[in-house]
Formats: sequence, C-alpha cells, structure tokens
Amino acid sequence: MKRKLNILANGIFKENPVLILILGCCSVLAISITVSGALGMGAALTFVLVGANVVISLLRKIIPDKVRIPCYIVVIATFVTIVEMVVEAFLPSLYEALGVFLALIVVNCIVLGRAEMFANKNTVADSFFDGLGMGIGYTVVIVAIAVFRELIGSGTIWGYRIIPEGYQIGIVKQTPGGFFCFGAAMALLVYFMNKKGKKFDPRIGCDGKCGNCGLGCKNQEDNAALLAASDKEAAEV
Amino acid sequence: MTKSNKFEEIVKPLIVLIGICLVVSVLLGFTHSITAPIIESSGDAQADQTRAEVLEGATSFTKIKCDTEALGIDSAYKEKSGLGYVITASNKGYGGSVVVMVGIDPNGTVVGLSVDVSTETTGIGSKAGEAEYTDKYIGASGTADVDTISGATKSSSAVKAGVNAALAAFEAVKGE
Repeated sequence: MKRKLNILANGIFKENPVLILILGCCSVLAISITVSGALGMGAALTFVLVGANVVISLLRKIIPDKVRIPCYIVVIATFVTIVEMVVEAFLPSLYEALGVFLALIVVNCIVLGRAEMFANKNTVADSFFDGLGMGIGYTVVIVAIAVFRELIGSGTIWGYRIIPEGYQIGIVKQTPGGFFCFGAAMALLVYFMNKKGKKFDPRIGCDGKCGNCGLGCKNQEDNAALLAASDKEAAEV
Repeated sequence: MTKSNKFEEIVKPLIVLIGICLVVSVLLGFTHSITAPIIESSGDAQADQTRAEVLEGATSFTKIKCDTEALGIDSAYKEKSGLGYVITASNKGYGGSVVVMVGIDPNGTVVGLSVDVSTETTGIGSKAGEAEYTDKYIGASGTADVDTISGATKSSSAVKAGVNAALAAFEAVKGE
C-alpha cells in the first residue's frame, strides 16, 4: 500500500507532469483562464489518464512491441472520444469552454508519456495509481494557475466577482500572461524545493533520461543498471 | 525468416491492432447511442432559442419538409402555436456566405431578422448585419423599399436576397 501511495504522490509532487516533466503545457496555458474550465479539463484528463493507463497495463503482454504506439493511440483516443461525447451531452457549457482542447487530450503528451514510460512496464494497480497521481498533479497545477489568472485577469473566482470592475490586469488572462504565470509557478516550485533543504535537481537518479525511467526517481541503482544495459545493447547494435 | 517468426513479426501485430480497434468501435458505438439523442435535443433547444429571437414569444418549432434547394433556402420552421414561420437562407456576400434568419408572421410580414455577417469585412460589409440596416426590413412584406448599402453592396445584396428568398418560400410553405 505504501508503494501505491508513493506512486500517487510521485505524480503530484516529485514528477509533477506539468511543472517538472513539463508535459502537456499547451492545454495548461490555454485552459487556465477560468477556474471552472481548469477543473473540468483536469477531471477529463485524469479520467483519460487512469483509463488509458489501466487498459494499456492490462494489454501490456498482448500488445506486440512493433505496433505499441498505434495501439496506445487507439486506446487513448477511445477514452477521449467517450469523455467528449459524455461532456457534450451532459455538460454543454463545459464542452464549449474547453473547445478543441478536449479533443486534443488524444495527443496530450502526459497520457502517451505515461503509457510508454509507466503503464507498459507495471502492474494494473500501479498504473491506476500512477494515472491518478499524474491526473491530480496536472489538475492541482492548472487550477492553481487558473485561480491566479482569473482573479487578477478577470477579477472573479468561479465567476463570482471578487475585485471590482476596472481593477484587472488584462494581460494576465491573455496568452503572454499564461506564459508568465506558468514560468512563475515553475520558479515557485523550485524555490520551495530548494528551501526544503535539498538542492533541486531535476536529473536525480537517472541522469535526466526519463524515457528509461519507469518508477520515478526512487530506484536509483536499478535505473543505473537499466541504463547501462540499454547502453550496452545500443553499443552491440 | 522462419514460419513462427513471420507470424510474430507480421500477423500477430495486425491481429492485435485490429482486435483492439474492433473492441473500441463497439465501446464507442455504445456510448454514442446513449449520448447522441441527448446532444441532439440540447442542440435543438439551442436552435429553438435562436429562432425565437426573430419571432417574439415563440417557444418551439417544427421543421417544414419542403424542397429547400428549389426555394433557395436552408430551412423553414413553423412555430407550433401558429405565431409564424422562421426561414433561414444563405447567399454569397463579399467574403463568404451571409446567413439570414427571417421571422415571418402568418400575414407574410417580416417581424424579425437576424444576419450573420461574420464572413464580411469588419466595418464595411458588416454594416449589413447591424440593426440600423436590418430594421428596415421589419414590418415590410417585400424588399422593394429597402436599398442596398453603398460601399457594402455585395453584403447587403446578400441580405436582401436572403429576405426575398425567405418571403418567397413563405408563400410556398404557408399552407402547411
């Protein structure tokens, strides 16, 4: 159970998909304008991540290596299409707010990245918690950025007016503001991680080769061995 | 290449991929069969709301089956309680298609007009979609009295043609 919690926490903090792995930023920049939209996007992505991770992990012994990427894409696209249809049917206002970014979850690199990095090497339960952790990590970051951008840019939170009209900084809710806030959030995270004691090093353990890294950065030695093995293999070829 | 190798290399990937696609299609079909009617009805409700904007007091509409191509219109709807008709027609403007939605009362008088000029030049052709111009049609049962806008001839002609087509179509469908 502790391992599962570790995997879950890994996605939220240590390997936060948005701020540390820097995946799926496009939707973060685009959707973090309103809190409600951000929460909807986070929920949709989490559902797709969990579903795709579980199914891909179930099929990991059946899917031949050669066609694994097409298989992943088909599975991911299915979940996205299901989410799209359900959201359009039951939450039309959210459907409008998310627009094309809902469909674009298909090519969101977090989902494909986790399928390739984690789900095809780990058990179903572990993959479930990895998907959940990554989804929550994404949601926390996008909602946090959205709270700031909606408050400063539009003066509202969840549509309720907090700051009177005329005192907004419009650029915050526009595209450049998205980049500013995103950068500031990353800097903040690094600041707090540094403050906590250890010097922040995103390359912990596996020399930044996250593609070879299934389990986050916990098993430093295992990863080193894996890396050595894959290097050896490459040398032989 | 041995026989089993061939199977592993070529046939198995194919079978797996096709198998996954088949399963997935069934799942998607199932979801679609549940959500499609809901999506359609909410889309209808929204369209009804838009139509009500040109026919005050209207709540729900039924579609009239007619030869839309021959009449030069996109669609014709009848208000259920007999308030009138809403006919949509599109004509080529300057930049693209100008869509005109006309509310017509049972006597054949234009009571509301909504024009989509999003394809026209902002500030020039878009004048054909402003109330200042579209209001000229309201209360009329023909378009002879309304001039096109100079400088925005193509855009406003498209509006005029749309209203004309709608009025002509009204004459054709009013009995139904």
